[in-house]
Amino acid sequence: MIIEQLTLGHWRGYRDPHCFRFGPGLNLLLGNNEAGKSTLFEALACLLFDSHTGRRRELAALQPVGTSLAPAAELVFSTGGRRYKVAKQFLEHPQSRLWVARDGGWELEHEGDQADERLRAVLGGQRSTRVLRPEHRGLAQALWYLQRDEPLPAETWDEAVRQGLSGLVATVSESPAERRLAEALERSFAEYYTPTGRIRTGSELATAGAEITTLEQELQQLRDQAAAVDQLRTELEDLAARHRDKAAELERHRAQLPQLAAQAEAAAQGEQEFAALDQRLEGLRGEAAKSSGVLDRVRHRSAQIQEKAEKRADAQRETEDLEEQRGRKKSEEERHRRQWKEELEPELQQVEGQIARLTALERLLTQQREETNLEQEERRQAHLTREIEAQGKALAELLAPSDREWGEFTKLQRELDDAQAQRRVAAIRVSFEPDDPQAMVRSEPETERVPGVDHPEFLVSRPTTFRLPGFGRVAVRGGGESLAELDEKVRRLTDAAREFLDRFAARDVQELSDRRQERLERERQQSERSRELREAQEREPQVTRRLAEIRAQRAATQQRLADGPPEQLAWDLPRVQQEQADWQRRKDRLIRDIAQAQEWEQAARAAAEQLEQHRQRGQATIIELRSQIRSAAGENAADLAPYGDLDQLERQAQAARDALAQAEQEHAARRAAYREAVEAPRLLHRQAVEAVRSLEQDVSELERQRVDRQARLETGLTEGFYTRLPEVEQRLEQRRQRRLDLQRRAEGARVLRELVEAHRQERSAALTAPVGELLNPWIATLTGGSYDRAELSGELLPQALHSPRYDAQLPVDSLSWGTHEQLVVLLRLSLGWLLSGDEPQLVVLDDPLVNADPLRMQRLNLILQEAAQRLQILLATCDDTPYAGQKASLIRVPEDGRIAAEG
Amino acid sequence: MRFVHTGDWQMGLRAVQAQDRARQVRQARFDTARRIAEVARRERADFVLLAGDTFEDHDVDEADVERTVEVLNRFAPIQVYVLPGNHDPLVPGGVWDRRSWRRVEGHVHLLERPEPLELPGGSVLYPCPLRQKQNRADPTDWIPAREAGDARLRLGLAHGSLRVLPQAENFPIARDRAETAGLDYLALGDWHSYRVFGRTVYCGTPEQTAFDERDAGNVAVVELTGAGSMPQVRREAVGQLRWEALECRVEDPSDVQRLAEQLAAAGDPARLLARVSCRVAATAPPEALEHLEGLRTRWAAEALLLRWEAEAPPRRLRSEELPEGIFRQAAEDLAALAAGQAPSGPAAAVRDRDPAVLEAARRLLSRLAEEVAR
Repeated sequence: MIIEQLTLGHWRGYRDPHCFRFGPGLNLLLGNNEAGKSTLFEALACLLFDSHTGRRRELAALQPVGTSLAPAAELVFSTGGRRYKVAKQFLEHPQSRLWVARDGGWELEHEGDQADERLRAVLGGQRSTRVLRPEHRGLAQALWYLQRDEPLPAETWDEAVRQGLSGLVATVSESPAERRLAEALERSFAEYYTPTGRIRTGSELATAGAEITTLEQELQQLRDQAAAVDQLRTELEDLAARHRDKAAELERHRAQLPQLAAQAEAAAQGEQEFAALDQRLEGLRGEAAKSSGVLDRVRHRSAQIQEKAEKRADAQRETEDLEEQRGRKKSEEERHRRQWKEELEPELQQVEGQIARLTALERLLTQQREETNLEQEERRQAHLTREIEAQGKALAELLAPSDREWGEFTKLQRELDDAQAQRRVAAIRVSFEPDDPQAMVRSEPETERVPGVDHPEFLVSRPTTFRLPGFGRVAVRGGGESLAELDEKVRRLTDAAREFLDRFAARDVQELSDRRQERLERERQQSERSRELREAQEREPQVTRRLAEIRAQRAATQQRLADGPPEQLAWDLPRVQQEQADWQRRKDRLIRDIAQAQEWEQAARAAAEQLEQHRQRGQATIIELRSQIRSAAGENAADLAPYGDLDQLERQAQAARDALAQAEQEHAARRAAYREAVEAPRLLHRQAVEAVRSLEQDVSELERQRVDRQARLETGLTEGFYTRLPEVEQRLEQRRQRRLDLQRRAEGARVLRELVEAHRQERSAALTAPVGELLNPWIATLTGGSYDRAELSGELLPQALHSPRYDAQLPVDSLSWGTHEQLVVLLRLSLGWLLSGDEPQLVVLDDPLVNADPLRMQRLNLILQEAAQRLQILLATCDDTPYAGQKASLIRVPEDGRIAAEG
Repeated sequence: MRFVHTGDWQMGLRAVQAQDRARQVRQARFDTARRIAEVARRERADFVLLAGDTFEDHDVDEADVERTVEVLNRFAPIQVYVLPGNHDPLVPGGVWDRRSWRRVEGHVHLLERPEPLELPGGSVLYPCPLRQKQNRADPTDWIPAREAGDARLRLGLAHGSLRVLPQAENFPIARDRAETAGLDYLALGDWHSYRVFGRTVYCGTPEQTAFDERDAGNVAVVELTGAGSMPQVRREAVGQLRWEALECRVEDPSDVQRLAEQLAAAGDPARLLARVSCRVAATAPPEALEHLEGLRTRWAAEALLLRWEAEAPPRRLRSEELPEGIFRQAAEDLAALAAGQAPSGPAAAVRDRDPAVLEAARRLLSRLAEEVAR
């Protein structure tokens, strides 16, 4: 669609009819803010897409302010190869009419709602009573960007946009039927899976799994029971076989028993004979043992007696030796005691007396030195006192100003200086510079000469005559009258100063100042002496009393030392201290010697005591051994009494041993025959009985085990696993089959979802590709290559921009406002380009490039230039400077509605 | 002399094919055993021969052993001779060692040894008890030939496969054993069908155990008049349950009608265990499917067991039934994959998936399309 001419009347600021004409390509709508650019777009949108009987409340805003005039507009446009004219009036007497151009004239085609409907059929859009809604504008939703519109739709473009674009890619966007199918598919998927594709907890699929686990566990339990029963049955078979074998063996042994019992019975006779032989042998053994026992005991005791007698002799010797050692240790103890008591200790006392004397001597020397110091201090303090008194006297006699008087004088002197300076300034200064520098200038009266000047210069304060040699006289008649007061003041002050000097008999100020300095110096010296005296008194207070005390102490010390050698009193302090150290070392050595002697004395005493203890223990041992020897001798005497003496006992014992040896020889000879006749049959019988008993136990044990296994087997069987097992197996199989079915269904849902999604993405890619082919180069141009492509959603809404430098996607939300606006403009230009098939489409842009910088603006101009080759672009702006050089139709929007179009 | 020859009671049968009705099938076998006792009494039988497999297994539930003992005790005073078969051979720890088995009364004789046994009336029984579950030896091998002058009635009782089939390997029994051993009657167990081979007779199981058995549900009532005479054998039906395995192909409503008639002919639905294998043609009209579904519903409610194994091809969605776009493309991809083609584009990503999963995806798409269309 392209528009040719728009006429407005009673429309907001356009009270009178205004007509705008539009050219192909770029149209710049130029006007200041509030000039009515947006109003023009608003009228265009209302006229083409809104019902002429739309909501009054919304339409009322279109009326000129303060009027009830009916807004009206008329537009000539072309689309689909035909020219149309539409005219609408809103609010009062609303009407809508649509003409079509035929045969060089306009033919009214529809009126009223039919006209609205027909427009919608021609342009797309939706019927609505609401006005100025971008979503009701059909294709224009994508191509028009008015100021009140959102930059992009929130979710999707209008169906007309989608349909329009779909024609380009020969595919169909998601229809309502598809959406319902997609929703149903999602519901099916959600029966099995979570949105992230995990099996949904609580779903039948998940439950089936849990149920199968339970059944598998139950089945395993039943199979374990069956296996346990099988095992028990195997054991029972084994037990039965072993029982059979054992029973047969038992039977065989039982059959042999009677014969073996008869043989054992027959052996009883031989046993009696052998028993008598045994008895005799036992008697002989008793006798031999008895005599041998007595003999052994007696011999043993005799040996013990001998041994103990030897031990007693040894103990006796040892005791005597210990006694002797103890005596030696006691002597040693006494020797050490005498050494420290009688030799070392007196010497130590003597040394200590010498050390005490030396200490007193050292104290005397210290006291003497202290006394000398105190005497010096006493003299110094007395000297200082005298000095201070002399200073005070001299100060009192000195004729010098005090601080206050000096202050008054200096103040007076300053005033005098000030007055003299004022006078010098106020006086006439007469200066002479004679050719002869030696020439004397005299004044009459005498006049004050300015000091410090090379040539003669005078201060003239009254009529004065100057005489110059070789020149004559110079009379200064006037001047200086005004100086009289100053002269008076100088004189008064000079007199006062003179009087002050006289008071202190000073010839001049310098002398007075010297006096003053002298006074200050004397005062300083007096203060210094006073401070020294104060410090000396603080350091040594009451020096006289202390001197008396130290003298008394020294006299006492001298008294104490009076009985010593007189030459010591002549020693100095180092000598005394050297002597002290020597005597102290001697004292220390003596103390160590005494301690050593005492230690030795102690050790000798302890050794003597220990030896005494050993000696006493040896004595006790001797007594005990003596007692034991006596007791053993008594016992031997008692044992030997029946036999006479030891020799007789030995003979009797030998005789008994010989008789026993002979009897044992005879017994051994009879033994082999006994074994064969008596023991062998009995052993066989015993073994047979034992074997039978063992086999009976085995058979009994096997029977017990059989009963046990049988009982356990029956217990196992009572749990009824036999019929339960196939039931559970069957149920498990059913559940497994069910789970397999569910898994297939779930996987089927997943596969279908994946397949549909893959097709959706393919379609989306097919839809977005042509847009991207146009849009992406423009983006690269606009941003100078910072971004090279836009990521578009399936709904053709930009999601992100791709940065080639970082190979990263930047979401559109994070773009600057200006860049975002420019991206929206480029998208609309791209869509418009694509939608322009046989005829150009109209793209309306209501001043969206206001935020572009000059460089971007320059690039946008290039893009607009390119787009205008295929589109009719209506671009509003308040400043046409950035568009200078554009080949555009310039349409001014003046407040008076004057129409101006420039090529 | 008249006696009842029965066997293969297989008490405690697991009856896996009966699925959740296995308990009822087990119960029916006890009822049938009671009916055998009634037959024995009614026929004034001198004794009853039980030719092996009284129990399904040594591990049968204790309750089943107790109830079997209770049924056997009902035969008193008729003597019952029980032979261990290959399902319940005489082994330590076997079912015959159970405490509950020991409660059988004196008229019940467990034949534990292969040795001649005098029967009431002067005849002699040659029992052939089994001690293993499997063996290739002929258990009747020990039966001695009739001695000259022996005029007693000689009966053989064994469990195994008569060598009339080449593959009879477990406990094979010589086909001419009755003749070579001079037996007047050889009572056999193991086969579940009623079969008579001269003097050698299989009475079959008195109660069918599975769908694929024939001529089951009987006992043999035998009458012997004298040594060497041919036995008079009469089949007496005692079975209660009917196992029917039906197959049909449904192309139109008449096929469904025929199936309905077959089911109705099976007798009392409460005693019927039916397995219906039904193949429904893709061209079957909706009314046939509706009728078939009604039949299934009715018999599922009435029959003791109905195992319905119908194969109905899924309704294929025509691609035009889907809106043009991604779902139609997905449907076409799935159809191509099902046809073994390898589509390119988005479908390439799923072409290696399990065909069963792809089929499930296809079915789901059909279902969703129908839902959305409704």
